[in-house]
Amino acid sequence: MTLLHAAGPTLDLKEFRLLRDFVNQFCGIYFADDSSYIVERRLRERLRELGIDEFAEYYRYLQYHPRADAELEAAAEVLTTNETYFFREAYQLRAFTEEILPVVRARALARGSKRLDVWSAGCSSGEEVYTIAMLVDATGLFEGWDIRVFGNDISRRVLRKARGATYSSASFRAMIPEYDRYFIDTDEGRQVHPRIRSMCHFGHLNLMNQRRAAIVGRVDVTFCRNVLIYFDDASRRKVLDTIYERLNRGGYLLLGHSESLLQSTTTFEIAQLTTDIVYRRPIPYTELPPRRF
Amino acid sequence: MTGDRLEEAFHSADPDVRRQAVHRMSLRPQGTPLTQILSALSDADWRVRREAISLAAQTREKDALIDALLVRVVETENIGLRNAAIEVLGVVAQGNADKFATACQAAGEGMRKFVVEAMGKTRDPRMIDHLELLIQGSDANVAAAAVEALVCIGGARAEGLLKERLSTPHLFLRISILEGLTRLGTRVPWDELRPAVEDAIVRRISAELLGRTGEPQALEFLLELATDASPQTSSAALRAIAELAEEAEAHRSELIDRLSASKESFRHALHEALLHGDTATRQGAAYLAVLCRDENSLEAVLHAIADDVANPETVEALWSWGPALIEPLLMQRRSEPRVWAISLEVAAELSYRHLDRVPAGTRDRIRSLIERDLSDTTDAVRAAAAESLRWWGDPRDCRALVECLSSPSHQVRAAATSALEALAKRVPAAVEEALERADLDGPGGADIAHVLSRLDSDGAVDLLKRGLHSCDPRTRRAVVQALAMADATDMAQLIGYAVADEDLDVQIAAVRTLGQMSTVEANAPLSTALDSPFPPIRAEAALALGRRDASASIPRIRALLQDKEPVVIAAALDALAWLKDAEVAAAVDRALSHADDEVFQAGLRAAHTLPARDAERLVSRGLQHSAWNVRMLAIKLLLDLDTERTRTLLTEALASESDSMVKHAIESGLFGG
Repeated sequence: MTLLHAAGPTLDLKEFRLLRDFVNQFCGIYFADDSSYIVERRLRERLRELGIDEFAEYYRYLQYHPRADAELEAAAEVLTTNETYFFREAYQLRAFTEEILPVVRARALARGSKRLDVWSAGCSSGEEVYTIAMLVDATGLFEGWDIRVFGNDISRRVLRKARGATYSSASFRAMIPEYDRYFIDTDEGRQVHPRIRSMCHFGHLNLMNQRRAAIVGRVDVTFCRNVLIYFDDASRRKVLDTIYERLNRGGYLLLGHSESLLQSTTTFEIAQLTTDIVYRRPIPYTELPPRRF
Repeated sequence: MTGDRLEEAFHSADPDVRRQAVHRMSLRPQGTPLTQILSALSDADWRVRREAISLAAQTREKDALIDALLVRVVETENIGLRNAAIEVLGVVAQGNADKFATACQAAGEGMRKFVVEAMGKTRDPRMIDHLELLIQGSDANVAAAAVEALVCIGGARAEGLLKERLSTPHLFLRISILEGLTRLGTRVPWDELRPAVEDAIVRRISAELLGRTGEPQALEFLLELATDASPQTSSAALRAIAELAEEAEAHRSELIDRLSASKESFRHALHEALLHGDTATRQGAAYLAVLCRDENSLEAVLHAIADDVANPETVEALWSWGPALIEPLLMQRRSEPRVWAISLEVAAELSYRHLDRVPAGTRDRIRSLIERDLSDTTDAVRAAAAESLRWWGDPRDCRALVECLSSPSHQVRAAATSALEALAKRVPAAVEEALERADLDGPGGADIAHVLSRLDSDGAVDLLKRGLHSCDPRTRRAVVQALAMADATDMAQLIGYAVADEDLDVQIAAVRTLGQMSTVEANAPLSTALDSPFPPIRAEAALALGRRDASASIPRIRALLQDKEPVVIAAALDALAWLKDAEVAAAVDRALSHADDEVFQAGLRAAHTLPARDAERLVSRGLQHSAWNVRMLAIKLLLDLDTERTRTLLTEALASESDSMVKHAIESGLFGG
């Protein structure tokens, strides 16, 4: 089990800081000094797998071993927190369906397009991606549209789960009953309906890799909820730049309820909605409709 | 690109072309004229401005740039230029406090705050004298900007000034100060904080500071905030209460009593936070729920543990709950498998720890649950049952545990290994017998080798030898490591074969194991490993020969100092220092000019073995290194030398050190504590 037992190699503060900074440079995730116990506990699994007895040796492995790149990915995988569930932060999702989607729809139609692109940045096991697709479907605003919800994560393990689309009760702790119709009961758990699954796509992508993020294309809305809280300032800024680049002008960014951009960036503008504050990529003045007096 | 082409690109309509032009300007050895820098900083596109900020930071006309930017900060209407100017000033304007003060006085109302913002960005403590006056001024915007600037600069003096102004009657300013102190991590004593947070609006942003007081009186305010309708306020309050409970050890039982007697609305907030809060909030809420021994929240707490968000204090508090927790845990049988797995494991261990206080019926029930769950279809549950046999296992369980070692699940195998290791101490013969027919070629081959290494018997060594033929390199590697315990000549030869294994990690394990063996038979395969095409093998072989005092290998290890891989050079230098090679001093000199941190550190370690005067001089070069871990090593080695000169060097280094951990290392080394 090991969650409760402190058996295994111990991580001193110096080793912790070396490993923390190494992983931070790779994927942006940042651990404060008081969370070294999490790093120690989670990385023990990797040490055991590699037959390594000490964290100092593991650090050397990450620096010099021919398989260091693959191991760094494996380390990032065990160090990331992948906890999520359907319909998380319902008040924000209400703002998304009632206020953002109609605006995005009108803007797309004005461009002569019937396509909606949404990005769930750091999607973990996929619950948010499917939630978004269900919400879009349920509005009825996008009948006959090409809807693409793209989710990415740095963990291959959670992406496998996301693609499987089958979930246990823990994923339904904030479930809204009217959306039950989008699930099919199976022996392994509740599976997302194939129609919803067909709108959803997944990819293995490190948010710190700005060039590779071009895979996402241009999107109308980005959800990046409870992801940036695990990043340090510099990495957060880097990821926000990437998100900004990927958003269409006037596109929205939704963060978790405990997150804000006050300390991070001024590139986005604030969009005050009825039930939430979200961020928006500004529309240049030249593209704004003429003001009516 | 020629100057004309660059100029043309700089005025292109395409922002990306302009951005690239500015980037190219920063590469020009002759630098960039001030007018061009200022023009780039006022570009309409933020990406160009960002590039221009880096360009400006490299200027050779620093004074002129500072003057020009200070003028622009207060005069321009271009927000992009102003923000860029503030950012550049933050990078280049240290040591110019008087210039800022003059600019501030000259600035019109409404613009002064921007100069103050730039003062903060410099993080220069010399700005504090001016900021002290501004924080007391009548312009609320300027005073708030001065607060923010003091927070940016930080340090004891800035914190002291902020605390002094906590009683300001201006609500807006007080809120700024409280937010600033929160960000700085300041501890404001309860007596000083209380008057400032009497106002309900102010209180809502003060949860973290209230938690940091460590005083039980702060709890009433925090309980009120915990039931606030805003999830942010409620979450912050719950986290603060958790911190208060952790900090106020002397008052903890008093706090727990008060929390346990709290209203239903608080319980509800706690439960909601456990289910839907962010990680830090769930962490705090889990701790509080366990402290209050809230059985209704137990499932949510176990969820938090399963999600790995509970901190060690929560787990500790869970153990302190004692045998009264066992029944509520056993009631979680129908919960999610991960939750049940933790419940079973905790119940098993608690019942073992408190054997005399747990009824026999409960003990039997736990034992039969373990037996049943050892063949559960869920990995987490099966692993928990196996882990529980560390306490409850007896000879009957060995076979079932060995079966668990063939599970494809890493978690199940790890738990079974741990239980078998515990049983190997209590009933070694039963474990050995169960392992006799174990499949070393299966997924658990490495785990079997691990358990066999705990059995001090010829039979176990014979079984391990079989594992050297496994198809799985993980098993071969584990066997090689396990064979280190049998320090015999024939083993050295067998492990020597593994130096030629096709898998790199088996080779590394073999080299390391040979390095630990006392027989001279180990030297020959280690010497061949010095020629390996793989850098980690060459490095490990050099280290192993160095540790074995194999002085005959010195010439070959010296040759590795010319290797192109830093890991090999570092290992060779360490080995030569152990072997007391006469050429170490020259090698140290080269290592201390090497760009790689590991080589530099090996140089420091080797320098430490030289005569005292040389050692002092060479090791002290590490104090100026840019990497904190290299400075830490230099400090450790200088403290070990412990001469008057090294103490002086360390005292000087303390004055200029900025890293808190490195500072602490010097202080505790020099002054104790």
